[in-house]
Amino acid sequence: MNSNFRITRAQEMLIGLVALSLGGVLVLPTLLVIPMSFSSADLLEFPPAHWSVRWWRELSQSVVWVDAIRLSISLAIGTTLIAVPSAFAAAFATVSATKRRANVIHAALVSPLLVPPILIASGLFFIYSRFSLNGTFSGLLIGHVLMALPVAYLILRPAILGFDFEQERAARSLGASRWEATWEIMIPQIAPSVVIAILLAFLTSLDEVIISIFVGSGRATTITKVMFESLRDRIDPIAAVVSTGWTTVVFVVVAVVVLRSGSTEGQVRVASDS
Amino acid sequence: MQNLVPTSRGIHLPFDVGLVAPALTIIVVALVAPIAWVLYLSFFADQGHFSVQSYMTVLGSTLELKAFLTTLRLSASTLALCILLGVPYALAMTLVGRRVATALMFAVTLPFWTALLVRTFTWLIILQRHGLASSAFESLHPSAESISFVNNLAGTLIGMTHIMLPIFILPTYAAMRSVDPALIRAAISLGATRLVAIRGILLPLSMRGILSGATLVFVTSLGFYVTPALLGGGKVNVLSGRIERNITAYDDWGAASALGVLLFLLVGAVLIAARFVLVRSGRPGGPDNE
Repeated sequence: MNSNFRITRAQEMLIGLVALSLGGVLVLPTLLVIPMSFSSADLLEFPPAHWSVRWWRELSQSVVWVDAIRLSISLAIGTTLIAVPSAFAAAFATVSATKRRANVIHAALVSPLLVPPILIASGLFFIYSRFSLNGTFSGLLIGHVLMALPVAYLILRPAILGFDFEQERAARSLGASRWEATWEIMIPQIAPSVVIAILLAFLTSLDEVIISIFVGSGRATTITKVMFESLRDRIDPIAAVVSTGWTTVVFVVVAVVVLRSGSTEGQVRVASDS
Repeated sequence: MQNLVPTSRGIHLPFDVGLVAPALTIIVVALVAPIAWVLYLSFFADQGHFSVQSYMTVLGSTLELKAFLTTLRLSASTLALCILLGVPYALAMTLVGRRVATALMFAVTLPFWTALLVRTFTWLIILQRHGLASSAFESLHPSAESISFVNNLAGTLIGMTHIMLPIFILPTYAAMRSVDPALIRAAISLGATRLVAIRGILLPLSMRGILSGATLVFVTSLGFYVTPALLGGGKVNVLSGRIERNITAYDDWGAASALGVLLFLLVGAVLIAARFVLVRSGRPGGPDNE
């Protein structure tokens, strides 16, 4: 929009520079864990005095951390497998619903973003105590699906809304079933949004802290729970190693999301529609 | 075919309840039921007998009342910092060219999706005693005593602002970008300075985005647990922390539930107030046509 404001090149550079320095402050703390993970010291320090892969080795030998990473990844996969199709179906339904119904469905689907997670977590903990679901994979799964649902929905809905439904009608009139028309005509066209929904649903589950702390225990202990307790009690340098791996995954995902043109739209919507 | 009614997009597709069933089931099971159960427990924690004892306990405790104040203060300060930093940032994103704007977007998106714990963790390291922040402070004031930025409200506030800023910037930027550029061009060609164009056109027209970003930041901050727990070092008692303590330390599910209900009401009140302001600000015609 710079041409509209008639901003000169020099002014644009100045504004850009100031904003980029704030952007740097936003990004740098997320990258700081990388050098820290290669420290040889017993306690975390920045910058590290000596470099080593000591803590990477310790991670691979730590049963607690490795088990938690395994559990968190299977949980995130399970969450994605349930949340994305459910969100897709609901988003699809809002297109054919009356405006009133669509509004109700929309409100219901974004509501998990607005309720304080501590309330959901403690409520689930209380209910689970009756059904022995605390400390189980399914218990965690139910909570994580809830948190991933609005994220997938907010990304899929605009994509489905933007789809040209004449094509679906054409396919149907040529004898395709509703399922075929959706799967073979619509999904390929909105594939980028589906991929983003899958990635972000996965990250949402991986990142979930509060439900995991309350509901998870024993064998169903997530990486977030292990890490939270490590940070609260005594900072374990392994946390820096785990954070490095984690941030690398996020970096790749965000790069994919931002590089796909127009996909930042979905990002903006996730934050603004809720 | 089922009900063929005019829809939001004018498409005549059959509406299928089966399509929303999975999502709504999840929401009922994992969201509505826990909230309902917390509400029930807040009144019936005493072996199923109705009592308002939990609320009396909570409202009669200085600790819990202080937690309310701390939560409100922390959320308001976080919001103020987000507006102070976020509005200029979003404005810069709107003003600069595409390439710089993409870089700025990346700088917001990366932290947005970086694990909450990782971000809290790095602030813990930066702000700790003898960490980066206190070394920088000491090099500026060599005579000053070594200070720590963690285990207090300041550290918590820094961490929370860093975590909330993307949530504020994204909707604000979306709103600013959706302002019709022709309006800006018209104003400037009619002799308005750029500052007037920004203050008189761009900001008022993106007020809805700013408001929804602000609401989201405030509401999310009210329920924050992880960052105050880790950066506050037990000295920053927020409502979420009190709920957790009541469950894990005192095994008082009634008090925890009562606090949960009060937090829920607080969030609900803020959302309703924000909606009211949004609806009013979205009145067609605007103040000039009155």
